[in-house]
Amino acid sequence: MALSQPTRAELMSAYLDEELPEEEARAFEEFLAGSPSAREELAELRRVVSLVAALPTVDAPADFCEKVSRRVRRRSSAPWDSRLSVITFSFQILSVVVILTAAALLMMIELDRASGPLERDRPNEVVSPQP
Amino acid sequence: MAPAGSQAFEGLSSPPLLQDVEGEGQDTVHDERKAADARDHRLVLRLRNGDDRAFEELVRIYQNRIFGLSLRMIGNRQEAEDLAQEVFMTVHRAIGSYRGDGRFYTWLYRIAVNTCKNRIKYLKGRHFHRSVPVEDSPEAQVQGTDGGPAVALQSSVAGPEAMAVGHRLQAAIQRELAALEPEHRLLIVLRDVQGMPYQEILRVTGLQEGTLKSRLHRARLALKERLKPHLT
Repeated sequence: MALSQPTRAELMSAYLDEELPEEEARAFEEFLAGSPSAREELAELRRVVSLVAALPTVDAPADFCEKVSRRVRRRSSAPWDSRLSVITFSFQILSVVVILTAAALLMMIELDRASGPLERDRPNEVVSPQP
Repeated sequence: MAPAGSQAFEGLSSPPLLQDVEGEGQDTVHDERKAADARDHRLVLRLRNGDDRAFEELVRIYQNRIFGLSLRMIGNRQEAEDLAQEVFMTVHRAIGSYRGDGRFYTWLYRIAVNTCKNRIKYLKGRHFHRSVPVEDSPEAQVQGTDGGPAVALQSSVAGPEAMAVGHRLQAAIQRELAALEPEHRLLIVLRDVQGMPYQEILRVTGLQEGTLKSRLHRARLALKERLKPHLT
């Protein structure tokens, strides 16, 4: 029995996992009996699956639950936290703009003050009458 | 077939999955699953009524599975812990939207899978590098179905050299697993690491059955190719 590639792909892993209905499993075994390459592929996959399955289980840190509860409590006690962070960010931008504007205004005033007297002084300059 | 070292039956606190076991064994698993679902249902009701102890109980029941999923998906302990915490925070926040017509376990896993996917995208954008190998951590330990030691990669041959070879192989598997496409990695972690049955994976991922079967097969082929240099 020849199987098209997508069908073979669908069947092989499901067969390996014993997730095929009995009839399909039997049909796939018939196909395997006539296909040494498929048998080889199946054996290799079986090995990979068993290696992955033998990876050690990993447990959550001992204080995991406490940490989650703490985070939940923190959020409950400050429900506006997330919005506040946005406001704070906007406020920061606004602050920078205000400071820059104020600095620019001050600079302009300073410049004005520095150049002002020179211009004002000119008309008051005493010109000595020509003899 | 339940994977030998999978987390499917990692102790009484974990929910039993419907595995392919026959006769009496299947009935027992069915009963255990029903009992776990009923317990979850009660805890969810209490949580909805504002009982924080119920929430803590749910966290303790599922923390190892969710942390394990996160760690195998992300490959970095610190990031995985933060991600797993985020999953439970989402559960706490969104418990009102859980209708209760499906298993809580499936709903929780759906949240975990989505959170993992989003985090992977985010970390990819930030060129994140996995810095702490999973198997190097002291918490990494082999457990069997009864909580005792299961067949470990290094157990087939005795001696410190074999142990070292086993550790290297474990590290290589984790590394190559982490190098797979996230969609492929997810299916291998759910099925081969955590021992989840196809029906549960379909519910969690929303995939079609044919897609699941072919994608899982492609994922395994890809991992097999990547592991070839380590297995010869």
